[in-house]
Amino acid sequence: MRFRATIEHVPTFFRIVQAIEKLQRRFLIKFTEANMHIICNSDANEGGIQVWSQIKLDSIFTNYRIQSNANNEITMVLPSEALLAALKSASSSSPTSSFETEEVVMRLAKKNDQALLSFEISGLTRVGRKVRVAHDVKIEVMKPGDVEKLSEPLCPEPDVHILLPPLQKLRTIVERLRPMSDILAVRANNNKCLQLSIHTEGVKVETEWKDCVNPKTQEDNPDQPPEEARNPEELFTVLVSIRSFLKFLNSHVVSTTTIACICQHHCMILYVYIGDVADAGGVLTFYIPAIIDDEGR
Amino acid sequence: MQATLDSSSLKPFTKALICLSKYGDELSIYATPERLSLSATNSSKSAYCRIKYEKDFFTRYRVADHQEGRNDWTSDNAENITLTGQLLTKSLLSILKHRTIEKAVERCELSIVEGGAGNGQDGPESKLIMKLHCKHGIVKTHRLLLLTPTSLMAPGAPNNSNESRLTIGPKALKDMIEHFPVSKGIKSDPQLVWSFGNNDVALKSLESSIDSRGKGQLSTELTISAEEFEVYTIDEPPTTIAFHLREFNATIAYADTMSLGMELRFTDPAAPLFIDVEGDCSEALFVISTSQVSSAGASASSHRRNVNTKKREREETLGKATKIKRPMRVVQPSLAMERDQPIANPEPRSCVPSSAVCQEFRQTDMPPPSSFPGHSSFMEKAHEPLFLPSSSQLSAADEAVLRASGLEVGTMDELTEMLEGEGEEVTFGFTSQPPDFGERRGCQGNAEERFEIIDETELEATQSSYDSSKVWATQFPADIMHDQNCTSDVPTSV
Repeated sequence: MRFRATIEHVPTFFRIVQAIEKLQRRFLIKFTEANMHIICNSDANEGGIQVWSQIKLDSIFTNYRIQSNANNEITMVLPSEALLAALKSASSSSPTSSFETEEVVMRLAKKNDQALLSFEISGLTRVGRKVRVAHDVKIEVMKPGDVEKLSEPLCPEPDVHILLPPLQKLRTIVERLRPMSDILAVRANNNKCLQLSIHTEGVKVETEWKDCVNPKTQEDNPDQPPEEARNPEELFTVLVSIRSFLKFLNSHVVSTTTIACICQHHCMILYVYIGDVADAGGVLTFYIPAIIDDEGR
Repeated sequence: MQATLDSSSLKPFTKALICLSKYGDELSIYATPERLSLSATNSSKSAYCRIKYEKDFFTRYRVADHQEGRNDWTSDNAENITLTGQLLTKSLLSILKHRTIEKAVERCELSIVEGGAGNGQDGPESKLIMKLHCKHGIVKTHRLLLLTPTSLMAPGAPNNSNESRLTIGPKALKDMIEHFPVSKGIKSDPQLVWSFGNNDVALKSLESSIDSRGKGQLSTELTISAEEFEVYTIDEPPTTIAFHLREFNATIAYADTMSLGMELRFTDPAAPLFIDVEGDCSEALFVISTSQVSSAGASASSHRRNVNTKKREREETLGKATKIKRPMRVVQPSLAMERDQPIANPEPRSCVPSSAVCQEFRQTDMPPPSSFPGHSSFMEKAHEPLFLPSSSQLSAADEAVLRASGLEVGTMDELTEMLEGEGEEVTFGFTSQPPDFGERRGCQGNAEERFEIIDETELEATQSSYDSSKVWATQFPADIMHDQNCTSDVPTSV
């Protein structure tokens, strides 16, 4: 089992980890020959939120080498905080430090029977002298058998796809709603409308966005007016845990475009694009199961 | 005592108090006609901070309390007047750190009103009165109760003969330490091991088992050229010392806000680290105890032991030879000092007209303005105290604490062992990288055999649950895999 890569875009990697750090104390990364998959699938997650992502190697790494008996795939369990700390030290973008990173090499290592993901950083100090920093993050390499058991949640055909407003803006609103309710209703229709609302005994708050884009899926026939299939004004609702929605909104640090899919009364799927949609370096897919609550419907 | 600060000097004064508050809760004030010094010691007596202000720092400064005219002796021998007091740093800071203070205050008057032990008009307590003259003629007056310090204490003077000396700017130091993540808990106080070699300085995080879960997952090592230091004089390179970061970071922050350079002095792994930060009218001394890299380092050193090369072993014995002796030498001068130094036995009043104390300071060149309950010790090097206990020797309870600290060194053999372990772990820490490669390669080969080939199913399948239902721009074409395929045969560790 061999694994080594130069981290070319440290800030991107850092922000991806930052986006999911709050979700799980330990999470999985599956490295394949083409992609890096970040997986958070713990049952104990807030509101059952999960993340399944696929990130192109090119968008982060160069000199990527991987070799294993398990189809050249390596799946590891990493402590998110430690990984984040290592990447933070590697990124020269920190505003308080004038440390300049020259090269960051990540490799799989083993010391004293402990598997490590080691980061070797060579950089320059503010006066241009060389500094070498090495971080060893303790990891666990998963057995192929266990990897096989990982499975992504299944969901039916989404009722609606809609482009979300900038997540930062959503976040300010949802943060205001959080003290008032534990459950957030997300509604959207096929006519550019998105609503976030809470409804409790004491308060009812509704925020509506018009002019959100409904992206075309490839199955859609552009000639066919969508009304024929469905009434575009019909709102599809899903109730989710407001805390888990906020966890998803942590990904605002990395997102450019986010598409939300609603499977009415079943779940919500959020695709957070890293980089431009057309040339996305990857996508973080958040899955938030619906809370089934008759009153809220 | 009366001291007046204008708005420009209030800011550094507040910064100094912030730094002092990081060292300890209790602030000791020691005023002489020439200077005012403020000091603090942490609860375990392993760190000490003292900031002295020349009287020029203040727009007005006098110790003698003529106006009050209560103490007759003040006018008689004004040169020898000293004044001590003690209060919670927090209580001063809560006044000064208020957000409106910085903008609004034009002048700050500090005065100490002595409690009338003999002529108690104001009650028996001394008070620190802080008068803030703000804009629009607003005057805020705070009266703080001043406690009576029970004893005076000073850090032992460093032994100059084998002293290592470093000078560095706070920013450069901050840049180095920033690479070592600090877990968010208030309790967390990581320790760093510094190895000063001939040309390089290596810093290494020292994990102890009591760390929060997150932090034990990461170990960090930094190597930097010795040129980063403006002055770099190491007595006997390589030298390794280890100390906690909490107080050190407070010192860096203070030096940074004051834009002053830092001078670090240390002797042995067991002797404390001295840091001087000198400004125009201020002079700050920080003393931080260093610790043996022993119990906590043992687990880490077992990593290393497997990968030792012959070269390293040779160097170790070299280091060992020098290190067995040196800590022993350090103990003695400071113990001797303890005996020689007249112990300041302050009177149970806040105002101490003690010329004896002053003399003593001159003698040691270490004015000890601070005062603490008599027992003090630090776990270094058997029972060597960092601060000289002024009124009593270690109590039985203290010894028990020491023992509990796990650093107890009973016999010479144990000490030797301990030091040996330390030298191995830290001094040559970074040189272990190359042999490590070989080790790792071997290990990985083994590890690899444990894994069986499996079919690449899972992730494809998971993503395809969306793939099949919706094929749209969010999904990535599988063909990006192909460019990378060729690389997989190349060995990774070269």
